[in-house]
Amino acid sequence: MAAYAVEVDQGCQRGLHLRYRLAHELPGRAVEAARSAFDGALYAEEPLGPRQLQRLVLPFRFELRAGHADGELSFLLRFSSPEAQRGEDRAAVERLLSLLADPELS
Amino acid sequence: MKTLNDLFPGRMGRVELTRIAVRLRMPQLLRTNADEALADDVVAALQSALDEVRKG
Amino acid sequence: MTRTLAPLSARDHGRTLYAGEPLVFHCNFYNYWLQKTMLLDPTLHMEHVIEAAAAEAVYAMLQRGAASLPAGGGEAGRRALAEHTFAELGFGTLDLSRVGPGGGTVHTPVSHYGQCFRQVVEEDFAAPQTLFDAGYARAAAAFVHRRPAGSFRARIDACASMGAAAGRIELSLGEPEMVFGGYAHAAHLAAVPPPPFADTSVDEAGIHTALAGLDFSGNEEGLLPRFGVMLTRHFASFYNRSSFEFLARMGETGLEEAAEMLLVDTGYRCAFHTFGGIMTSPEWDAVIRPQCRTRADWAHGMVAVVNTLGWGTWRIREIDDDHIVVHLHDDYESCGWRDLYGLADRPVSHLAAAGVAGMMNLIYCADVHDKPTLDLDFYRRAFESDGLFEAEQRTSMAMGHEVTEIVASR
Repeated sequence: MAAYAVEVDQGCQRGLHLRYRLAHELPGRAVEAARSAFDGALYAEEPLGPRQLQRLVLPFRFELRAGHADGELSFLLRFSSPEAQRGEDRAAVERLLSLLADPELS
Repeated sequence: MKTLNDLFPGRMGRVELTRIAVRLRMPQLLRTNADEALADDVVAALQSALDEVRKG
Repeated sequence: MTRTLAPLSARDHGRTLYAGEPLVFHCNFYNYWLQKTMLLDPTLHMEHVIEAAAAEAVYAMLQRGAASLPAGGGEAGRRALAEHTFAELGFGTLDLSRVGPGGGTVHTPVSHYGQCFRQVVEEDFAAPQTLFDAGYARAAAAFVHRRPAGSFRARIDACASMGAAAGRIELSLGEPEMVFGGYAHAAHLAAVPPPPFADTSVDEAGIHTALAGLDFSGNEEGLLPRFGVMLTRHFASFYNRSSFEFLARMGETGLEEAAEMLLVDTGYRCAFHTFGGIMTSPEWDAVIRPQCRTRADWAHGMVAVVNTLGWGTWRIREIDDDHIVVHLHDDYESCGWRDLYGLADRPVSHLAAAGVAGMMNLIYCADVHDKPTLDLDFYRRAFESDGLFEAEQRTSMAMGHEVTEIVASR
């Protein structure tokens, strides 16, 4: 079974907003793992009714959001980030998701 | 022979016709009988204007 | 992220002021369609109006904002206020460091009007779309270098909407094509205070508390992605000045009613994308959807959110499957008209009217609760469906009535 499913949000940020569907507990763990993996990442939490949103921003490269919906991780790439960097960051995040889903991969 | 209803069907069509009327400064377009046959050169001009207003 | 900013203050009826300027939330789709509409007739030269309306709102805002800087702010402090405000409100990234008292080059590596407009359409634009940025840059340069409002002309040399990697605006001394002189924003308290929120399962106060926990500042790039759209926390003065000037110029061509119809159409696009985006968002699912028992509750929930956008205070007075009556207290369009021109002889709340009808169409015709994809194809299908709501402005605060009443029915 695949570690995740991904769809591109065709709304306002065409191609820059990716939504990952994961096992229920993984989005929050993914944010925590990315927080350790990426130097300079800034973390914040926002209360939203009964939920707690997690936001991790690597300035001028990307933002990860979790907690807004069960099993969903939002990955928002930045306009400022060059095409090659976006590709590298997406690959790095997806590697991280694969490892979280199947730790035996590491 | 084409009519305004052929070129600008439905509500979206009406909005697009209004955009063209504004772009070309032709308020009479909005008073023209929508079932009336249009001359070929008028059809061509309207289709060209429609292409323009649909662009970004 | 620490920014140099002016104070934000709340005013009655859901309005927010930034350095005395009323702010309203709007998305990239509304900004795109509004500008596209205003630029339809090239002989009107609305590009000068848009730039001048931006400069007018921004110069006034920065002048008042300077009072919050230590000792009125040196050049560095004033530049920071201008640049950081641009980013905070979701317009992008503005770099004034290469502008001196005689002019210079303004860089916008990221721009709402540049990149975020390009996201709406399938191809590069034929003309630069960053007219707001140019007006902002003019005003900011004059403010930073302590010059009068109309001191600089702007020329857009590069624009992301046309495919450039970044925006570049050249400023030079000399009076621009058009300058607006600024105007006061009087307190237009509705004669009739808003009644309590409707008696439903939807808890407006709870919704406001929940939304208040979210960060609606521009991110490090100066952009505001939320609810599936790109928001700006924009200047009501800018929208009012430019829209009303558009109507006046269209009146001279005998097409004022057509222009009003197109402003309403622009509002439909706003309702579709902004309201639709909100009602299909995870934030809605988390906070509001659990409170909705009926379709009418979806309308109440959406109105509760509208009342956080700075548009005034909306109150649903009646609602059933075929009609809705909404009272608007201090809607920003009416307030703007009164500030600019005094009493109006016809209603002016075109955005609000479209918003009411658009909201009902999403809920009662387009089944927004099924989370459709909000693309152009869906918009076309929804707009052509049977039983669409259409709105009528029955009373108007701009005309001196106690409230603005909008009735949408089918």
